[in-house]
Amino acid sequence: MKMTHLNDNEIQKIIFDTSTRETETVKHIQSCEECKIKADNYLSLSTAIKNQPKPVLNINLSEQVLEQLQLSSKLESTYGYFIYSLILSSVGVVFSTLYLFKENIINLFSFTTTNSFMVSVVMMIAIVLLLDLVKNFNKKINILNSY
Amino acid sequence: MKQEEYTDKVLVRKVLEGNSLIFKTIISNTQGLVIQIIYKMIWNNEDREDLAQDVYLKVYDKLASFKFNSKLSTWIGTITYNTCLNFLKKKKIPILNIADDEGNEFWETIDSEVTDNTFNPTELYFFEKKRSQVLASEIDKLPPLYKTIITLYHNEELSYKEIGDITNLPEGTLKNYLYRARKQLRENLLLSYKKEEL
Repeated sequence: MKMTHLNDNEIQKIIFDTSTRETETVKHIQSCEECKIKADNYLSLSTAIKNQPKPVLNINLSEQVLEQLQLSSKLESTYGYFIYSLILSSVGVVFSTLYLFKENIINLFSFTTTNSFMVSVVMMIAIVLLLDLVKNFNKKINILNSY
Repeated sequence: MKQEEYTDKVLVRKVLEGNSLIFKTIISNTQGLVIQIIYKMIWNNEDREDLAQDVYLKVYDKLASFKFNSKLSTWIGTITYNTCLNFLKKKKIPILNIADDEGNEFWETIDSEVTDNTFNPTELYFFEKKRSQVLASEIDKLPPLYKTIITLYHNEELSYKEIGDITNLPEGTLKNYLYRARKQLRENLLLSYKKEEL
């Protein structure tokens, strides 16, 4: 049996971590009035914390959140329409440009040395940018997955 | 646990299928824990309300990435804790005060003479009578991290593992913090009583 008084951690271990408590300390607390009182204090403290009233918010949380979700979905759909119309108009502009400058574009692919060089450089840059985009996307997805 | 897991899965699936009204059930099932964490970490009422809403908007956005590795409530608790942590970081408020070389906390100065005492019957009476009020105010004086873990353990009755998941603390560290938090709380209660007695 331990002959000196138990410290706070040992007393708390006996009360709250029953699986890791040591027999020596348990024996001590059974025969030591001072440590027993301290242990009782911790028990009362635990019960008192347990009986503390649970806090409540002054708002109806679920109502507020659902309201905001509905609002954001409306905003998202408006934003979605805006994005779609932007994409459509961009596609329109691209195709009309292609149509208007079709002769120049055909000439571009007539594979003169300069043209092929320009096209291959542009394609290389596009591939590098695409790879970087995919890498960043995967990185962000991995961060989200670790949640 | 299995029943709870099943319910979690059903609820999450329904919300992901587009039934946002079911999200209301998720909120009512978990808001107790969320509010507890927010109340223990944040002082201002307006901030608490904003953060609570912010938490659930984040939960809704990230629900598809929930892997069911833990209970839904624990996952939501983690989001809540991290949201509060980021808020406190922005405001440059520490969640735990730094201890000195001897391990004494600076948060609250404690009279060593008082700390060596144990409760006598009068003190026990004090414990019985004003316990709730005084205790609430003394818990409030603890650092945010201590307040949170002590409430999650004793009031919400979460396991070490669940609290560890929420706060991202290893079990050993968590137990150590809990010991210190209880000790500090007990000492502060004694100090508060001594002040009243004078």
